[in-house]
Amino acid sequence: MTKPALLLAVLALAAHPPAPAQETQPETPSPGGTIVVGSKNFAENRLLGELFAQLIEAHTGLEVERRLGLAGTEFCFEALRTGSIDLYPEYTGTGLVTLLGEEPTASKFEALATVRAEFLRRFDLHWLAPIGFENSYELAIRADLAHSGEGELRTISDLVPVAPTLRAGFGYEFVERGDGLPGLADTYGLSFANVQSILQAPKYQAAAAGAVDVIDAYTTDGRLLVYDLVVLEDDLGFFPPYEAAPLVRGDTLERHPEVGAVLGLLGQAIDEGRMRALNLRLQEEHEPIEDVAHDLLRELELLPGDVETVAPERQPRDSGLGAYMWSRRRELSTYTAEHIGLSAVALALGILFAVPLALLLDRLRTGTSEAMIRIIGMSQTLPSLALFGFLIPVLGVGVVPSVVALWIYSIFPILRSSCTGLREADPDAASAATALGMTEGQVLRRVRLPLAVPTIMAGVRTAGVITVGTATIAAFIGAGGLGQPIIAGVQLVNIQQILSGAIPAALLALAADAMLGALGKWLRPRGVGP
Amino acid sequence: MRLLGVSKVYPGAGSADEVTAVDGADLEILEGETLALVGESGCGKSSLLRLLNRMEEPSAGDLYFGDARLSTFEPTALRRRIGYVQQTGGLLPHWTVQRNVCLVPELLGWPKERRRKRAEELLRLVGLPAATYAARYPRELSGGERQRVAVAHALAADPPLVLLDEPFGALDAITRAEVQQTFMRLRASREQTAVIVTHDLDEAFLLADRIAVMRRGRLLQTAPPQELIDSPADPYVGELLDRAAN
Repeated sequence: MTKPALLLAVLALAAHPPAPAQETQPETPSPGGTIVVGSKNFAENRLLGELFAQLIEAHTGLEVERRLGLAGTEFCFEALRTGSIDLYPEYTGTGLVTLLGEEPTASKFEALATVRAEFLRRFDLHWLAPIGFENSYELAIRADLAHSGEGELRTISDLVPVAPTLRAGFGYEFVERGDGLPGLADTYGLSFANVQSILQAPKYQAAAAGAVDVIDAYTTDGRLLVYDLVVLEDDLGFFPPYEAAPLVRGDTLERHPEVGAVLGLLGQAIDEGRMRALNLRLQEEHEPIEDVAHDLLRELELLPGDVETVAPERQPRDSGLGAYMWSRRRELSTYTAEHIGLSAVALALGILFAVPLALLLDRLRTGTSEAMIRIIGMSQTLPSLALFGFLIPVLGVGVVPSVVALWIYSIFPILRSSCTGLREADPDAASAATALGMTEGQVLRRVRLPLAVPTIMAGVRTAGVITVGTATIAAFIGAGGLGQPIIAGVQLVNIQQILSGAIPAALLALAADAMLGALGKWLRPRGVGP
Repeated sequence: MRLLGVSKVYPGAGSADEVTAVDGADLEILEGETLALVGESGCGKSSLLRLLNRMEEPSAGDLYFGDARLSTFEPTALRRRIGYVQQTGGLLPHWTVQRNVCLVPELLGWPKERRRKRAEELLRLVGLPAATYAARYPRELSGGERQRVAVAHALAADPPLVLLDEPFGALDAITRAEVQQTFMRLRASREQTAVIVTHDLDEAFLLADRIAVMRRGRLLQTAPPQELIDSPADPYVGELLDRAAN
């Protein structure tokens, strides 16, 4: 087997990484396959997604695929609308203001009625029975500031006169959304000394450390119980009601009406107090989401007694990183396999695209091809979330758009090095080969391409490291990989969880560098190079 | 091979004027002779050489190979019948010495065994025993050894015509003398026509049957060495000979 053929075979293998070991499924053959459950990227929404998933698994023969932790409302909604996921937990106020662009309303019944009718009419999406709690935005201020100065701060109106001296730390969505800061500022005439955008989870720590004075909080956030913060009353009734409910595709309910029935079991099942306690378990105790969801379903007596539910292995508390990673070894090896799969496929596609493109550009004048390379180079500067923003409406969420995004990032380094390699590979040898009667094609295949291999492989190596390093972003759109524990860990402020993804990811990048380096050495023609 | 009023003009790049590298050259290359093209660097001698194997196309004038116009030959087929050695050897760095020597036979589809035998014979002739050298790569050779291989690979398919562009120019004096000796020995044993470009008059006198003197694209005189000395056709020719004599 020639080297290139062998290389192709290896890449083909890498493109089909062995499927992660499946748990033995309950033997009921599912009548219609798989339900894909999504969620947004914060603890409560993930937990709801996990609850939906476990309920469906326990009561139907359907398989459930989890795409938890998608990067925000728009990503979830697009994924649902385009059919990449079948359902996710949404909030009526968000549906009303952010997704429909309607005026906020103070009545939760009116909010639910409006979103139900409009989502059905416009998108064929169904709001099922609300779960029982509202999770509205709140403003919270550090207790020491609320109690200092002239009189206590109790309401948002009280905040208005002192706000110009205060620093705010708000979530990204809150800063942008009509039912967030812009509307709030309009309604109350509120303006702060400065506003910083911070992820939901670290905000509380930032407030506790005195780095910010005012934050946006969720009603059900468990950390309101722990951190020394005062929630300010929305005295003008600005924030619309945010009842949590499953949002499901119409065609999914048509195919699997049992999904609607099963999710109905959660109707009015969880109140604010209970949700806050559950969130606290996730946010401060760092318990695994699967455990918390499982416990809750058991408490609610929503698990059928005759179905043997697999309780996830409980991790020992307060153990070291090593023990933590060992207890999660099954998930971590799945994530690692996904990570390698995504990177390898993207890199292989990058090579298959960029090298032939370089051969094509090589036929153009140097100036023209340089200009084209520079244009293609601009793809490198696209922020990954912006790239996903373009890709999701077309490709949905999951593996495909992730691979496409990684592929786009891998093209430039390979193209750049291939063009340079072809242009600068021993021009004397190429001209001598021509003078002795090689055709243009023979010169390319037998002389210029082999001599360009070391330069091309240097580009492949760079692209490989970039791809493995960037593949963590795939978790933002539900493609898994080692970004999964990193992103979840950031949201849950769980350092061990972050490291359990970050360390293997870094090791993988190093391994990719070493392997591609060795591969380059092996492919380098004898007689060339150092 | 004959050249009738051949010119080569390179279009100017940007603001630079166009360059006339070869200006109305008339030349007949006789069968079996060794012809040296001499002149200062930039006089157009390399361009003239590259016109002979269609690495360049003339801007004006005609070239004939035998009785047929050169332009009727398919360029790659033509080049496979014309040996070529360039100043830096032009060996393929990722091929072994043996494969380099047999590049043209390989293109012509000779069977492997015949190529191996041919390489062995040629390497012996240029003083590089195949047992030691056949499996080496060009970078494992000295400069002189590389040029010997280059000479061998120009002769590999027994072409009726060999073109050499400053073949020994990059070598030190002692090595150059050795490789020149080898080249002469090879030339003596076969009836090949050779055109050698050099700026070194001594080399031209040593190797050539006739010498063509070029200056600024024009062929000033083409004659056997002794005739150049006895009756230079142009003051520049005499000047050049005087300089070489010193």
